[in-house]
Amino acid sequence: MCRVVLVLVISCLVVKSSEVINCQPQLQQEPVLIKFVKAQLPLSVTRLGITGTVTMNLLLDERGYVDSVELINGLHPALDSQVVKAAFQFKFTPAIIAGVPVSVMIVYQYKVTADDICYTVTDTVNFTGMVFERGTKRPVSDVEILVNYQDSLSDTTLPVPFGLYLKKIGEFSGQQYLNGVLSTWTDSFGHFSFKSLPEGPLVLRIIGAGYEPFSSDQIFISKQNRKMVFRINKSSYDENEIVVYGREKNQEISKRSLSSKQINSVAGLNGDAMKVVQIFPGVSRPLFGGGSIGIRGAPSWDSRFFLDGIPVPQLYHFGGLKSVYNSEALHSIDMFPGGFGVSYGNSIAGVIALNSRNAEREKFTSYVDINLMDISAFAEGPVNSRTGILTSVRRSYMGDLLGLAVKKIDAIEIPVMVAPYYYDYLVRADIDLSPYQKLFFTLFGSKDALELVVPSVNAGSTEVDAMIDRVSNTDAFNMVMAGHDAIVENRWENSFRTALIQGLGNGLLLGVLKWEYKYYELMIRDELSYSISDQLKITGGFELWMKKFRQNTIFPTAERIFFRDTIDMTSGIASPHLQLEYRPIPSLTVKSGFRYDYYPEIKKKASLLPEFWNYQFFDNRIGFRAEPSIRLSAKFQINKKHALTAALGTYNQTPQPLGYATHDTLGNSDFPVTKARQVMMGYNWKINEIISADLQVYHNQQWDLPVFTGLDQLLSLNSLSPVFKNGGKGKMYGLELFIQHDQGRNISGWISYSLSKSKRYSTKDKRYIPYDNDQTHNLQCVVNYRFKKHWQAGSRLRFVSGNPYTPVVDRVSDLTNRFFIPVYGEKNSLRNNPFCQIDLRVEKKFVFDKWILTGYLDLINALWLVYKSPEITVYNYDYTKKTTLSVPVIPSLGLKADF
Amino acid sequence: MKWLVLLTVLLIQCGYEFPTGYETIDNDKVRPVVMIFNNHQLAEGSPLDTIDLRAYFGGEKINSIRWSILSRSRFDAEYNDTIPIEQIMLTESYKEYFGTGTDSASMLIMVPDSLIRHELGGLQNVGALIPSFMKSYFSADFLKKSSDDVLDMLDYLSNQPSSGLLVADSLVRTLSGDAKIDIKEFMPRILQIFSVPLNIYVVVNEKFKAKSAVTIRYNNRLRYLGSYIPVNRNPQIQYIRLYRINGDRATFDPRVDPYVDYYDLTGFDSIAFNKKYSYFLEVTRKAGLVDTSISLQGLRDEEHFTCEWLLQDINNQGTDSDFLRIVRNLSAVSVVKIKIPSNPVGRVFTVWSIVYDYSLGERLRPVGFATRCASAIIVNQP
Repeated sequence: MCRVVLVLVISCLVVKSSEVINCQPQLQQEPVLIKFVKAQLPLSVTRLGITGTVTMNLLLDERGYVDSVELINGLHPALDSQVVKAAFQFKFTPAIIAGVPVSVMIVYQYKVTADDICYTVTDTVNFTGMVFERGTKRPVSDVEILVNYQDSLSDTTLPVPFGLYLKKIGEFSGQQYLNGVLSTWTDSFGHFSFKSLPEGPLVLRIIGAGYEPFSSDQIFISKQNRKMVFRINKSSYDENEIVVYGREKNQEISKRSLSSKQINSVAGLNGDAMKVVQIFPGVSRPLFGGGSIGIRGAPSWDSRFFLDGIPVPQLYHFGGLKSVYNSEALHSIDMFPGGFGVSYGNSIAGVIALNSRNAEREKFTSYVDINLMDISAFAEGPVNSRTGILTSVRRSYMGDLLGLAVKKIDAIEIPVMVAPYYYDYLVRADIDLSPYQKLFFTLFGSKDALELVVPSVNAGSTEVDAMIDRVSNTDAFNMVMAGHDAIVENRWENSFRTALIQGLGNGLLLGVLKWEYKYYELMIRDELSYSISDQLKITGGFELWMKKFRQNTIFPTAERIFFRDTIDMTSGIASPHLQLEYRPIPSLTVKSGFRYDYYPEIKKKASLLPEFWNYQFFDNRIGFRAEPSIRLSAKFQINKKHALTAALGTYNQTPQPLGYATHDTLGNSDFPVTKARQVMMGYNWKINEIISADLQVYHNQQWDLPVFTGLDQLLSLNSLSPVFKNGGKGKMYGLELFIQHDQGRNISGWISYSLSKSKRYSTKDKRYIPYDNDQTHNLQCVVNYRFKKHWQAGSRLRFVSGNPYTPVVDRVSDLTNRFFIPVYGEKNSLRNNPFCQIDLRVEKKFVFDKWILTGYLDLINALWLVYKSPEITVYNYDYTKKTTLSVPVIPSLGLKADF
Repeated sequence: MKWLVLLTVLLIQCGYEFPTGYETIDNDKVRPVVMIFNNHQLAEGSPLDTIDLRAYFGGEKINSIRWSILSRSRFDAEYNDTIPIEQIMLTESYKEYFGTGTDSASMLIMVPDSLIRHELGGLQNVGALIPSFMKSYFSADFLKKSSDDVLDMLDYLSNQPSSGLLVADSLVRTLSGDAKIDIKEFMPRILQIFSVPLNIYVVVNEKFKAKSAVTIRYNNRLRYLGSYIPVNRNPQIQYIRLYRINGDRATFDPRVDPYVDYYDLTGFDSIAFNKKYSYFLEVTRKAGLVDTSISLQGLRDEEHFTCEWLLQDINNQGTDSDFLRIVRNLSAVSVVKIKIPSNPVGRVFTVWSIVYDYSLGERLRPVGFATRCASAIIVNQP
């Protein structure tokens, strides 16, 4: 809009200007402009871009009308004439002297501004666009869009000079002009717009944090609204953006966590979440790269594995090949190696908690992953603004290929009737009932199956099965889970989970062993917290888990008697718990909890008092049917960088292996609950923003352990003697160091070291001897480095003490059964050579406009070419020679397409 | 169990083998080959039966043999609680044989009359002998009977064959407390429960140990009750035959595949060698009865036969490629290939074939054995 500056000059004859001249006679009222008329500047004038002041003498009559105009100082004839023409239409209030209107002459300065000449420039949108993240199609917000013209003469229709025009349109809302560049920003939907851009080619640049700069000079602007879509590259595509709703549930003091980002970057593990757990300090190295997770020297069955608080029926396909739960659908994995609170029970070792993630609410994403083993597809997206859904399905095809190959190899002579295969599926729906209430449903299942025919083997009995030439195995489960999280007034928090699981399976081993099983599980879990004050929080909850299990087994023993049995049992747990969390000072957190665990399968009376050791001086086994336990933990934050932690607690679990230890024939139905005491102390050091260290020392004492007495018991003369007996004792102690380097500019990784001892009491030797899982040293280093152009490389180094084994000191040829019987020496008195493994991973991302293709190569055990790490020691047919078996180099090649 | 299946599949698919083959007999080790218990062709014995025991050895020359007997089923490496061999061996029946192909020893042993009673007698409840999953097959009254009651019945019936089936049926009904009981189902189960192994241990050259067992049960003495009382006979070998096949063949079936010629190996033979042939061995059983067994579940099953081969290359030791050895498929079969080294002329070898029966499902079922040994020298084909 034009601005007009009026300078009034009274004629020296009649009036005076108060600012300029002061002469007689006295002017009682100066003329005041009451009607201004803007000069109509022609295009020929405005294009010149002339601005300045036109000075005129205006003769006003006694009514205030302009009587005549005298140009004193002009800018341009054409402009001046328009100004004079406008001035004739001015109207002033009359000048008054001595109470009488008089005619006066004034000096009037008409200022011609940029607004005056830009009055034809209107804010019309003529360039809009969307900015997306390249590959992921995610809209990019808050990035700056910059445009500049290199040819100022490209638009000949501009009403004003080019520079002035840009400056003018830079004043429009939503865009700005600075140093020859116009700019604007994308909104939360990635949308942007420019108004009134001149016609012609422009250079567009997009700049934003976390994105590579984008530039385009192929854009031509016209008067018509130009719509364009831009896709820009992220600086790195290795960071998964996980949207987490609600608060973090568990603030356990001894907890160690891995995010999905860390899970996907470990070499040699194919981003398999459950296998990545094996890198935590305190987790034993499983044999042959399998999936067994033994925590702090304990067997796998002493630990529990949860998915969102629900026990997972099966962790891996085929015992360790791959996790059944798609790692992409995980938010994080928490590991409680010991000293965990009362929220978890039925474990005397540790707890692994898988935390699944919410479904995407903003946009649809999907991927297809093809590797040497399987093919998987994943998709997620919003149903509406409050509901998201996530689906995943995976099917192996390695077995099918292997089957085809084997069918053509006569030498192997194993016709494959049903190739080994596995599949799993997952559907999860998240519903936001309100900002403080979240609901989710999960449908999740898996199946493993194989069937081979070995016609030249006919060692079995038709009494076991008519198919005496078959080897088959099937395991499957389906589960449906629901969860509800609520926060009320920021003081009450409730977390509810329930699940129903159905599982079944069967197997046949060449007519000498056959089994089939079926089970149902029901799990209900609720935990309610109330913050009484900032210092005190109380948490109560209960866990109800019921499992109805039925298994039929038949096999002939070495003495040709059939073991034919049905296990029909109801097991489970019903456990209330209560915990107080107290913060006497901000830096100190103390937790104390109490828990009762009732196991329906246990007939023995429980302890009256929580057992910190196996009390011998009085009879403590006079309690109810539920086993009490008490747990204490504390964390003292010395300062921002240093913290001390400690935990002490009693733990218990149903005798393991479940169903066998308490079996009428194989075990002892009168087994007591297995118990343990755990002591832990730790030190946390946050070295800097991305490097932290965690040191823990622990001691775990266990008693009332079922002891496996060996197959010779099972095969004894007249009846099937129990192969599990009560009274076992064990102890584990050690030190664990965990140094984490979070993702820096290019590098990330961690160092995990465990120094540990795991021992079992030998009643024969009257002393503690090394347990099978005893691995004194366990060092693991993981490093991941990002290169330019979306290349990434990673490596994992493992150095682990060799597993103990029992040497064979003599042998006897069994001429009836046609094999040699070993005579064993002192149990676990020898140890294999150290295990050393190096895995390598190289990954390259190819980012296309609407999808990303990732190629990766994993080399597992690349060191094998130099050093063959022993897995187990095996003997020859007559036990006179021994050797070790090792896992060779295993390459894994895969492609993944994200849409 | 899943791991068991996976391991089996893995081992089969990977062709996993021990460092040295079971089929190869080393020259510097004694290899106990087989112990055959022969009770008038039966592979089992009853109390007071006399059993002919013959043990065969290969490999290293034998200097000493030490015998012992253990009536307990579980192997005891320290040889505790053994019975002196002299107590059950018939006087002067022990003989040792030393030949070119194999060494062996034989003796006659008489099963002590009280052997089964010594092992299983004295129990207040016979139910203690019966696996929990089998108890439903027996009446509650029977489970409460003492083991001596049952043994008394078995002893009586075995010593009074003239008493006949009716007496046996009556005794069984009385003992079981079940008037409707079927003796054909009851008796085979009881006989299995009251079976014991007689373990024979042998230490050769003071370092090589072996054991075998003969099942002692009442079956032989109760055969008169009918064919539902199973007994097991030792198989008999008819011949070991060497086939020459044109070309380099991996498998051979004498019934359908053509061959150039064959030799029956009888003692010490000469084998004409020509590298254009493949050489296969076949063992054949004499035609005879195929025994059956009855499992605790009462199912009758015919026995199966396994053929096992052992070969000793007299001239060479080790597992190098120049070693004569048996090439077999996944399981022991009656036909195997002999891998002939590149320069075999003059090589002497000994081959053993062991045939034995098996039938899963019957507790402590006796295993019947037969063996045949032959030696040969490889000569140039004229």
